[in-house]
Amino acid sequence: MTVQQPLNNLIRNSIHALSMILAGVNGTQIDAYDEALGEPTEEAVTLSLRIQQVILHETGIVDICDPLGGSYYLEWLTNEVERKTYELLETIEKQGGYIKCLESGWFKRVTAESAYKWRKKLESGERVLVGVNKYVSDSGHQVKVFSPDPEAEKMAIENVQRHRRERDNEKCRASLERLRQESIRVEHSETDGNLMEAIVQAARDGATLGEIQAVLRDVFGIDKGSSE
Amino acid sequence: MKEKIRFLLTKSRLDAHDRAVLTVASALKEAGMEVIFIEFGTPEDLVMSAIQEDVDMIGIGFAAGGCVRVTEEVIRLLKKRGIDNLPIIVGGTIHPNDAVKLKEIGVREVFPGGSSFSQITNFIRFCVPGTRYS
Repeated sequence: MTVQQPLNNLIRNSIHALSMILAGVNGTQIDAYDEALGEPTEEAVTLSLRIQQVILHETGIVDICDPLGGSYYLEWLTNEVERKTYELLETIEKQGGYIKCLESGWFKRVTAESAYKWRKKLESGERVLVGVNKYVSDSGHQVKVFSPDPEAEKMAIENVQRHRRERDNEKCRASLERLRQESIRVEHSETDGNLMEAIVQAARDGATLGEIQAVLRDVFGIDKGSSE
Repeated sequence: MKEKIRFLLTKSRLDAHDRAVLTVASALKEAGMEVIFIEFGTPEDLVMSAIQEDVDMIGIGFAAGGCVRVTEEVIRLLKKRGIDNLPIIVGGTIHPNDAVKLKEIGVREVFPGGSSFSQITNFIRFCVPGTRYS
């Protein structure tokens, strides 16, 4: 997704969508072409849906389950992805497993490094991104950028305030306290770590996402796995 | 003469999009700067880190809106502590209207998506004179 010549993203997204379907995914969600500029406009979101509809109705690709099955190159690529995945899993295991890698910031570090390498290849021109480092035009982006209704924020705040007034606060507090106790047990490794039931119950009793997250932050802390 | 530019690079903890800002962190480090990266909870956190780390400049990244309000508050809190010359730059997914407002409230420069590393590093060196790299 690029800021420069944003309509190119519509072309990129169409190719992405087609490759996903060729690969046999169970579901797709196509980003709007203007999401590098801000919140998407309704027009851009609708066009994302149209990409899928065009592929569905106009290409015939849904008549066959694995159109690229048997392609030598694709089978080879699939094996390569598998091989490299196992290599990566081994690297993770050697460092003590997933949790250790998360806590040491290793995941964030390697992701950031790879993003930096990719970006540097763009800046040096080693890798081409159309409209960014090749076929550049200086006309600026001509698409309109979504602007939220200034009233929306006020309405959202009023909504939460009304919700807090109208719910059974006693019940809600009790649920959040139960979530806290369950979380403490998880933090002390007394249970396997599944908080879903307590979270769902808190939500059913009217707790907001922010209140639920506050409990979790309070017990488990923040910035785990952040690296600099 | 200072050895290195000390730069506070920061984004809100409420927004998980950190790939771009961490990429900028790498670029600044490679350009010889000392980068302090934090995810802030409130503008107050951000200002406290800037003071405690004695930074030469602040860069705030936004990917999910609220950039004018937060930056305004940061500038107000800095002023309250008598700091009114610490240069601030803002980057990320910035609405064109917000970019104008940010400049109006005193942000030195805005680097929306698509800005190059050299644009950012050159500007920082321009803002922080008297260092080896400026």
